[in-house]
Amino acid sequence: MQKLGDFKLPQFFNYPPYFTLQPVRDTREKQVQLWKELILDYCRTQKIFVIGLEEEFPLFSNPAIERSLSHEAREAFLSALVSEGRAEWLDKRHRKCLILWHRIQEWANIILNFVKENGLEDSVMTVEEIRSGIESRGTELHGIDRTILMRALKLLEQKGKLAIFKGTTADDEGVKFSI
Amino acid sequence: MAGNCLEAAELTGSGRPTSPTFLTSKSGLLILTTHRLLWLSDSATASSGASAIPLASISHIFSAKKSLKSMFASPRIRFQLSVSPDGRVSSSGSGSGSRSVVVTVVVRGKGGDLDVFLTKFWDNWRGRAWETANADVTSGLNALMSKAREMVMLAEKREQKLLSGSTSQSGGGRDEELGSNKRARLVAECWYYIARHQRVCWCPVSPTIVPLSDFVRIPLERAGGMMNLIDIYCLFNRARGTELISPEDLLQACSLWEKFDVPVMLRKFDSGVMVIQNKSHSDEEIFARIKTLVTKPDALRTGVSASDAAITLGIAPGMAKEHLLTAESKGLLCRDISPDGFRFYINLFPEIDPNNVYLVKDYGVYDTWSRVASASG
Repeated sequence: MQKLGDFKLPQFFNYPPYFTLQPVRDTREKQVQLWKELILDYCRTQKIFVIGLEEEFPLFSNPAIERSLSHEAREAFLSALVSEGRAEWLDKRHRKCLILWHRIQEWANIILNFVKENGLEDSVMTVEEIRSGIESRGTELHGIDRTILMRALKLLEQKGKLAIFKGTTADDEGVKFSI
Repeated sequence: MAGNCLEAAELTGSGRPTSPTFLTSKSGLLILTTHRLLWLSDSATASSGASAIPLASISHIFSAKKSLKSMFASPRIRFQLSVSPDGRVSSSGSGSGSRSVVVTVVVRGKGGDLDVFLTKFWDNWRGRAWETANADVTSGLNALMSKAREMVMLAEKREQKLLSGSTSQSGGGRDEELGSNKRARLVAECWYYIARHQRVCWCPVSPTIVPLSDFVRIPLERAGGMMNLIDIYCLFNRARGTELISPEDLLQACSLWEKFDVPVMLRKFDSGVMVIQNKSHSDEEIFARIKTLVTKPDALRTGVSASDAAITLGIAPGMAKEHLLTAESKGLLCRDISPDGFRFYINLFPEIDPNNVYLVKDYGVYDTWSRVASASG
């Protein structure tokens, strides 16, 4: 079985039509579905949060069969993820795409569990501490994309689980949990 | 042609035939036209027993000798023919390697007025009607080509003018005018193409006008039951020789078929390509053959191109591509576009389980494909 780093690729990754955007509706729906699954799986295991459409992305080409996705195809597959709430365009021109293998709500739950497991229910942490501190090491939160983390924190803030406040430096913010 | 009708008669040094041999059927009808001398034997059927000599291949007609001897002998017609080295009648005249033979037709029994026949024969031969027909067509095509070129240019100019200026004009009217102009241009381009094509592949064929549906039957069979309309157009006009019909006439004639009980029909593909096909022609049969083709080990691995399919199906590549596209639209195939070209593969997508992308079931084409693909990789 072919691999991309430590990621196991499915058989159909060597099927040339998988890399050509199919024009027939039923065929395309199935193709899009398979690409969505593969993109999410790959990003989850490789901890990839952002895909740049104009940059090299290992999953979008297969040197073994000398095929790669066209720009149109990349945009089509990512747009399909966006329409399901599994991704978001970061710019109007669709050059960068944020991949949400966990939805924002799921990330918010992960944060809640993290807080409870570490007994941080009334504590104060900076956003950077959540992303790269000792407490988050070994959890899914470690190395999380800052945009996603902020979105999840804001969701929790709306629900009254925490308060976000400006930190001492302009580029870091603090979080006061109250669970 | 003379091979099955008139055997070559060798000349001696004095210009007399060495062995005046003749055909098996001695009784028949000799017909003279402005282009040919035809022999219909009494036992002639549609497929055999009729032969012709093009007048163009005759290099000399001997005048009848008026002698005492000829009063008592059966009247005869003698003429000299150019034949190619392999003994076939050639209308190209005395080219390199061509030979001459003298043919003698002996008329026995009540054969009508031979003198009148001989005079007519002489006149027709000297008239060289076949040359004028050719010349007419060539000059006609030249005129058509330049006219078509003029029309294309005119249409282009009008289109540019319409697109560039006068936004004051109401949008609807302008669009309509653009549309009709585009159509005019298309027709002109079509004419130009036909005229050019016609010139290249010109060959003199009997200018008989046959009903279109009869005419297309044989070429259709040869092409596997389906032909592009433009090919039919070329063939038909080539057969007519002069008085070419227009693309609209052809389309109209084909559109009329559905009202009549004819074995052929006009069909328009999703791509817009129009074809003529036998009514007995079945897409299912074609699809079955395509399926067999694309599930062969080589095709599983590398797919098939339109020309691969054309060879296997015994049809023109353009038609093969239409069939492949139709099979694709039915979900039988899917496409692969790469620098290697446009290829079609058996559609494996329906067999893949989206909930378990690593699963390859032990049966089905996906399994076969996996084994073929991993064996090669």
